[in-house]
Amino acid sequence: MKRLALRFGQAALVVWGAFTVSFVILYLIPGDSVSVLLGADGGTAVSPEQEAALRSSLGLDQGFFERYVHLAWQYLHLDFGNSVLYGARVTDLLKNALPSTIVLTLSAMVLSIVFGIAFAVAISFRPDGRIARTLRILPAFGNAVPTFWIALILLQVFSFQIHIFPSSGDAQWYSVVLPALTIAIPYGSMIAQVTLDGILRARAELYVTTAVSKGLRPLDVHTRHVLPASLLPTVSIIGLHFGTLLAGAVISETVYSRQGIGSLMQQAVVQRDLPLVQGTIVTTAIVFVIVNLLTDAVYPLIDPRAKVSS
Amino acid sequence: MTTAPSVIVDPIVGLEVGVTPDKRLRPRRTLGARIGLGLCLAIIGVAVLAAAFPGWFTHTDPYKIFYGQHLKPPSWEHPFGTDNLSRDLYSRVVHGAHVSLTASLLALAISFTGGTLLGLVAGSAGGFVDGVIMRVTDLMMSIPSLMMSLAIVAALGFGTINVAIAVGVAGIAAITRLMRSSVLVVARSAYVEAAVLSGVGWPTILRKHVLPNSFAPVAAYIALDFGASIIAISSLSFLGLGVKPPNPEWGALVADGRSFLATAWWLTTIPGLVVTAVVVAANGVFLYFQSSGRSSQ
Amino acid sequence: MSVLKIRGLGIDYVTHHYREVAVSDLDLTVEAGQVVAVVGESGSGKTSVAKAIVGLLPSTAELAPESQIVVNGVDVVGASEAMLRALRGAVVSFVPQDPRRSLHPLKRIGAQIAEVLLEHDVCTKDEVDAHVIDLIDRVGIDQPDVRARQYPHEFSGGMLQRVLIAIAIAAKPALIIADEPTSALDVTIQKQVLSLLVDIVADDGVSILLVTHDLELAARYSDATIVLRGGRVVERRSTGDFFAGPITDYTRALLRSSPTLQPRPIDQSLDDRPVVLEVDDIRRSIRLRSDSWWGKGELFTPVDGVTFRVPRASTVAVVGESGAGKTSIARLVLGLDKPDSGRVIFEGADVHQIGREARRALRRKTQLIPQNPASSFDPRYSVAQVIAEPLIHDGLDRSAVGVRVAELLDQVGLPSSFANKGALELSGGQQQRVAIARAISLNPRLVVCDEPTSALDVTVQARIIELLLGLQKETGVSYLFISHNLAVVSELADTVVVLNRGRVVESGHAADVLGNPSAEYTRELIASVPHRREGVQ
Repeated sequence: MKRLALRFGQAALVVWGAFTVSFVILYLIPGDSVSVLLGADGGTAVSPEQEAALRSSLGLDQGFFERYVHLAWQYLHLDFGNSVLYGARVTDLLKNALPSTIVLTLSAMVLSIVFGIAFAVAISFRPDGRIARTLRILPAFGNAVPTFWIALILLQVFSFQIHIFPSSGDAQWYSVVLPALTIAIPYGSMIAQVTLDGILRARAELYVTTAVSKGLRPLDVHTRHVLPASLLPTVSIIGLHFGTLLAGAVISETVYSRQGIGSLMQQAVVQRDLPLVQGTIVTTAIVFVIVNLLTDAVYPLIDPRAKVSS
Repeated sequence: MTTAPSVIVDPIVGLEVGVTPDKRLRPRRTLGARIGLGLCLAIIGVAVLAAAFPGWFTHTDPYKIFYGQHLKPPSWEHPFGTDNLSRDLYSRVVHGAHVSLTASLLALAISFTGGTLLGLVAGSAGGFVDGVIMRVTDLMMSIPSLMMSLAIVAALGFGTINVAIAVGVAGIAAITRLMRSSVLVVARSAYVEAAVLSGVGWPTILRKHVLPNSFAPVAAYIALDFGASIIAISSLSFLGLGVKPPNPEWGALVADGRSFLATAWWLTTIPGLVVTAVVVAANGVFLYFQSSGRSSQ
Repeated sequence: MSVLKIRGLGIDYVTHHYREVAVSDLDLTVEAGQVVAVVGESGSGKTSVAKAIVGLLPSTAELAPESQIVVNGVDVVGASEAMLRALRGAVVSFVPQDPRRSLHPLKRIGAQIAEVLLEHDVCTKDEVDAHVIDLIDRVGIDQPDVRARQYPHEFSGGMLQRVLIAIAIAAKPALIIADEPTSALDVTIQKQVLSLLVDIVADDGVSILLVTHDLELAARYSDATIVLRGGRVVERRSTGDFFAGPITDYTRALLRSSPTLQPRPIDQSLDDRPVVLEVDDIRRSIRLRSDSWWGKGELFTPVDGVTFRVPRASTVAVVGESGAGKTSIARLVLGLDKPDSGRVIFEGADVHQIGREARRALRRKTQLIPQNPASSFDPRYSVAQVIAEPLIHDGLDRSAVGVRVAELLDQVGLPSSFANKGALELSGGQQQRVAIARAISLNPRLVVCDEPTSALDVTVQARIIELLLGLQKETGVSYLFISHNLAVVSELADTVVVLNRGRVVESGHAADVLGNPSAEYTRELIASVPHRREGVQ
C-alpha cells in the first residue's frame, strides 16, 4: 500500500518536473515570446491593443512566479491553454492526436520486445559461434542509425520499390507498420543488447554451475535457469527507456505524415507555438509515467525479491 | 581457481619470491577488434578532416549549379549525384561536414564541461549542494532529451548555433549523473580514505586522486556522446530547425531529398549513410575502450 | 572398488598467448565411506581437481593425455556429455563455496531440490513433494513444508548451505565433492554445517572429497589428507599419521603457519604502561533508510556502549563475527565517523572534540592497515608513490622522501627494486607489506589493523604477523587489531575484547579470555576454531 502510494507520488513528481522544466525553458529564456509569436515582420500588422490582449492571454503581463502558479493551476484543471497556431484548445488538439501516438508507440514496443528478445535468445544458444560473435555486437550500433534515415529507407524500399505499405497517413491499420518499425529499431536493439548482456552474465552465475552439477541437460539449464534470470534487467529497462520511443515518434510521425503528439510537437516548434509545445511535453510525460507504473506492477510477478520488501 | 594472482611461495626464505600475474584475467584485444578500432578512427579522421579542410576533398563549389545536370544519379563526374537544383551532392556532403561536426563538437563541449563540473561539485560537496544539483538533473531527465532540445530551440529560435546549444544543454544532466557517480565511487574508495588518514587535505585529494580517477571512466563516453550529438543535431536540422537553405548540413541534405524519394534515392540515402558511418565509428571507439576498460579492472 | 580413482591427472589452462600448468601428475584415491581432504593455498590447483571430476572445467582447460579419472568404475575423461550427466547429481554431487550465489534467486527452494530428484528418477512427480520435505527436514531446517515454498533470499547463508547439502544428497550419490564449503560462512555456522555434512555422510556411507585451504579443518574431519602445492602433491598421509610428523618442508611450514589457539602469556607490566588510546562507552547508531516518506527507518546500532583501553607497545584485539561492529569501531577510533555518545581519547585529547590542526597532527600518530590493501592504493600509483604520500604531506623534501621510502621498504622486507613497480602488480602479501610501510612511515603511536591477514594464504599470513610483531618490538607502536580469527588473534594480542552485535561480551588478558572464557558466546567462538588433534608438536 505504502509502496503503491510512493510509486504514484514519484509518477506525479515526474509529470510536475516535465511541466516545470518546459515552463522554465519556454518562458524564462531571454527573448520575448510575443514578438516571437507575432513574427519579426508580422509585428507591424498588429495593433498595440491586440498585442496587449495576446500578452495577457499568455500571462506575460504577470511576474514569472505568478505566471508559473497560474499556469500550474490551469494544468491541474486540465486546461492547457489555447494554441496560438490553431486557436483551438491545446487539450482538444492533444485528445485528437493521442490515440494515434499510443497505437504507434505501443506497436513499436511490442515489435521491439518480441524481436529484441528473440534475437538475444536465438544467439544465446551458441553465443561463441563465429556468426553469433559477429551478430553479438550488432545491437550496440542500433542507436547509431538516425531515425529519420531509417524512416526514409523503409519508405523507399517498402512503399516505393515494393508497394507493400502506404507511404503516409493512418487510414489503414497496417499503415502503422513502417512508422512503428522505424522507432522499434533503436529501441529493439537496446532491448536485445540488455537481454544478451543479461544472458551472458547469467551463464556465468554460480547457480548455473549448481544446475549443471545436478545433471540437467544443457537445454534445460539454459531455458529453466539462465533465461528466466536474464530477463530481469530487460523488464526493468522497458519502461525506463520508453522515452526513446516517444522521442522517436516526433520524427516517425513527421516523416509518415501521421497526426500524433509527435508531429503536433514538431509543428508547434516550427511555428513556435509555445503553449502547444508545453502541452505536448507534459502529455508525453504523462504517457511515460503510466507505462512505467504498468511495468512496475509487472515486476514483482517475475522477481519474488521485489515483493517481500513491501 | 580463485582469481587471486598465483604466487610462488618459498616458505623457507619466508617471502613470496616471485609473482606470476594471472594472464588469463587480462585478455588482449583480439586482432579483429583492433582492426575495427583502426577503421572507426579512420572514418572519424576523414570526417574531421573534411570539416576542417573541405578543399582537400573537393574543388567543386557546393552552391555551383551544373546546368542540365538536374537530379543525375552518381557518376564519375558527380560521385554522389546531383540534386534538384543541379548542385553536386558530393561537394555539399563534404562542406556539410563542417556545419554538422562543429555543431556536434559545440554541443559536446557544452554537455561535457557542464556535466563534469556539476558532477564533480555534486559528488565531492555532498549534502545540500549535491541534493539541489541532483534534483535539478532529475527534473531535466523527466523529458526525453530530443524533446528537451526541441523545447529549447522553440524558445531560443532556429539556427545551427541554437540547435547546438539546445543539444548540449539537454545532454548535461546525463553527464552530470555519470560524473557524480564516478566521483562518489572514488571519493568513497579506500585509497581516498587512506589519503585522509595520511593527513592529506581535501583540496589536494580532490586534485590528485578524485579528479584523475573519476574522469577516466567518463572519458570513454566522449566518443558515445559525440555520435549521439551528431544524430541529435542532424535530426533537428532534418526537422527544419537548423541551417537555412541553401547552406549544406547532413540532416538538412536528407530533408531536402525527401521530396524526391521515389525518383532520386541518392539524395537521402548517401548523406544518411555518411551520418550513420560516422556515428557507428564513434560508437565503435566507445565500445572498444569500454570493453578494454572492463577487462583491465 | 574405490569410489574415486585419479591417476596421472594433469590440467593446463591454455589461451592464445599463454599456457599455465594448474595440476600435474596427480594421483588420488577415495575409498567408499572415506573422507579425503585436498589441502592447498590459492593457486595450488585444488579447485581445478574438484571441477575436473564432475567435468565442470572451463573451456580453456586442457587435460593431459594420460589423465585418468574413474568414478565408480566409469572413466570421466573422454566420457560423453550424456554419461557425464548421468553421473552428475546421481553418482557425484557438489557442495559449492558460496551458498548465496549458488541457488537460483527466482525459484522456490523446494523446486530446486525437486529438480535433482526428477532428473535422476529417484521418485515420481506425485511423490516428489514428500521427498523434498523429507530432505529439508533431514538437513535440520525447521518447518520444512513452509521452507520448501520460500525463495533463497528468505534464508540465511548457513541455511542455504544446508539446502545445497540437501540437493547434494538427494539422489544418494556415492561421492560428494565439497569445495571450500564453509569459507563464506561465519565461524560458529561453519562448524554446524560441516558436522551436518559429515554426519549425514556417515549415515549413508557416502564418500567426501573435502577441498579446503584450511589444514586444521582437514585434520578435524578427514580420514586422509593430501597437500597440493603448485599443482603437485607434496604430502599424502592418513590424517592421524600426518600430524604425527609431516615429511616435506612445505607441509611443515604450512603446519607451522596455521595459527593455533595458544594465547601469549600475560604481561604484568601492561597495567603500568601509559595508555595511548582510551575508548569510553562509545555508541553509534545508523538510521536505515525507510521505504516510505513518512515512516522513520529502523534504528541499527553497530556500536553499542564499547569501552576499552590500549596501553603503549601493546596489542588489543577486537574479536567478533561479521556484523559485530568491529569495523565501525575502527572508523570511530580513527575519527572517520563521530560517535553519538561516549569519547575516544588519544593521548589525552578527545579525538572528536579537537580542531582542524590538532586533527591533522593526530592523523600522523594514528594509522590504518586495511583488510584489502589493493583498494587502498590509487590505481595509478607506484609503490614509492603510495608510501611517500604521507611523507610528502608531512613536508619532507624530495630527496629525504626517497631515502625514507627505501628505508621503509627494507623495514617491511621488500627489495628496493620494488619502489617503481605499480602497486597493483604485487601479490597480496607484498601489497600488505606496502600498506604496512605506509602506515608506519610517520612513526605513529597507534596502528589500527582491520583484518589485515584475512585475505591472505596461511604461510603469507604467518610472515605478516611476524613482521607486525617485529615492528612493535622495534618501534613500540600499539596495535588495535580487528579480526574474526581467534587463532590469529592469539598469536599477537595482549588483550582481547569480544564483541557481539555491537556490545562487549567479555574483555581481558588474552590468556584469560581465550584460555578460560566466562561468556557463553566466547566459548562458542573458541569451540568453532578447529583444534589440532592430540599429539601435535
